[in-house]
Amino acid sequence: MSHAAIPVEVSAVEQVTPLIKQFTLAPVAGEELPPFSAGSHVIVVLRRKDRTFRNPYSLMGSRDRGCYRIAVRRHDDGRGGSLYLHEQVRGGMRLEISPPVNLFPLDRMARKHILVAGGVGITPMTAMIDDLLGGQVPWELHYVVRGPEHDHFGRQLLERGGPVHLYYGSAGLDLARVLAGQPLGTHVYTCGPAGMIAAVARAARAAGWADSHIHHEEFAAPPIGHAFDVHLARSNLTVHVPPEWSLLEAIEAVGVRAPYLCRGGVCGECETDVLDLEGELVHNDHWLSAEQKAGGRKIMPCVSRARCTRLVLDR
Amino acid sequence: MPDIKSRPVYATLQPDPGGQRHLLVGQGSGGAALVRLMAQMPPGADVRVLCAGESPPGLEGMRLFPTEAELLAELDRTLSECVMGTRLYVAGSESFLGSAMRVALKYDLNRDEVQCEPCGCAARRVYCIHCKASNEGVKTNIVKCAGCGRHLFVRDHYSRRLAAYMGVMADAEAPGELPAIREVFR
Repeated sequence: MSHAAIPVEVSAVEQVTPLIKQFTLAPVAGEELPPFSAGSHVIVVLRRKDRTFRNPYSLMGSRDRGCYRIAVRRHDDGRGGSLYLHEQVRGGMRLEISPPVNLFPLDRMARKHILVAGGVGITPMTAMIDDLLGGQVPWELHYVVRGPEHDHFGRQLLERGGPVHLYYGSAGLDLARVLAGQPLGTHVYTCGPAGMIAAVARAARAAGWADSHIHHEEFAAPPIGHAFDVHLARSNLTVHVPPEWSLLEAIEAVGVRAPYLCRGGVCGECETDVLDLEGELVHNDHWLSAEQKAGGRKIMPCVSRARCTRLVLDR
Repeated sequence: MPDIKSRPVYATLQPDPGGQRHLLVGQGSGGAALVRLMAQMPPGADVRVLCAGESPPGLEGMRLFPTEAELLAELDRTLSECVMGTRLYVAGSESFLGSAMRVALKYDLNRDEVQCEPCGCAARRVYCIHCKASNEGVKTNIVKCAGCGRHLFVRDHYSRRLAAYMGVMADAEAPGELPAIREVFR
C-alpha cells in the first residue's frame, strides 16, 4: 500500500461536452510521469478547504506519454469531488496524483476485442484504442452518448478511423446482435452506467459467453448515507463519519493509514474485518460476494458504510 | 486443486448449460465418457462429436478419425470456425488431453469453456529441458531421453504451451547415481 504522490501541473482544461471537462496533467520540474498500460487509472487528490477528496479517474489515450489526460463528468448532486474539479481547478494549478494502477487491462490472449462504452465511460477505451490501432487483433467500439452535443470523444474517434460505432441513446445499440457470431477468443469490455454493464453481461451470457471473456469497470462513487460512528480497535480511536464522507476518508482524516488502490469498490485492497456491529452494513462495493455481504464480517470502507449504533473495525 | 499450480485440472465431464454449442472430442477409452455425457445433454442441444481410436463409441453423427493427429487437425479446423458460446469437452489419455488443450489455447478457450476427463493411460509426455526433445508415453519416474540420452527426472511441473511435463537431468550432481526406477504413471 504505497501511495507515493506524484505532483502534476494542470496544463490545460477544456469543456468538451456540456457535462464533461478534460484535464491535461503535466509533470512538474523536469520529472517524468510513469508509463502506463491501457485501462489504468490514477487517484487524483483534491484538497478542498474543508476536506480532501481522493477520486479515481481512468487515463486517456496512451500515445502522448509526456502528459496524462483525464475526463471528468460533473455530478451536481455528488459529494463534491467532480464539482471541485469543474469549478475550482484551473490551468497552472498543482495537484497530486497516485501512480497508475490497472484493474481493467486488455486480455493479451484475446483474438478479438469488443469495447462498449457509455458517456464518460469512453475514457479507458481511448487508451485501449491507441494500443489496438497499431496491432493485428481485430476490435470494434460501440459508444453510446445522450445526443450530438455529448459526442465530442465519439467524433474524435470516428475521425481517427477504425470500426467505431456511435449511438445517440442506448436504444440503437442491439447488444444481442453485436455479440452474436463472434469468433472464439473474443473479449468484451464495458465501461459506463451500471445498467449498461449489467445489460452487456446479461446479453453475453445469453449468447453462451463464459464469464472469463466478460470484463467491466465501474468505479462506484461513495454514496451519501447516514452519519455513524466507528471504533478502530487497533488504533483505539473512535471516528465520526458524516453523511457525505466515505468511511475510508473519515479513517484517513484522523491520521490512520488504511490500504486502498481504486477507491471505487473494485480492487479489494481495502477489505477490512468487522469485529462488532449493532445495526446493519450498507455494502456498495463490487468486491465482496453476496454471502460475504450477508455475513456481516467484512466491509470495503472505500464505498461502503453502515446504519448502526455501534461498529468496531480491525484497523 | 493439485499441489502444483501448473498441473491441469480435471473433472468428470458434465453438460455446461451456459454454453450454446457443445463440441465433444474423445480418444481411446475416452469414448465411454462421451457416451455418458451425451446421455446427459438436454434434448435438442447443438452437439458435435469427434473421435479417434480403435473401439469408438456408437454415437449418432459422430465423426471418426483414424489417428490422433488427424483428429487434432480437425479440432483445430473446427475451432477456427466456432463462435463464442461454444464449450469443449475432451476425454482420453492424459497426453491426449494435453494435446487437445494446446489446440484450444490457440483459440483462447479458458478453463470455464473447456472440461477434460482423463480416461485410460496416465503416461506422460516429458519435455527434456536440456535438448528440448519430447518423450512420449513415459510411465516411469526416471526416463532416458530419446533426444540426448540423459536420464531425466519427471517433474510434476506442467507446460500448457508444450502440453508436457518437464524432465530434468537426474544425475547431474553425481553421474550414474540414479534413484530406483519405478513405474508410477499408468
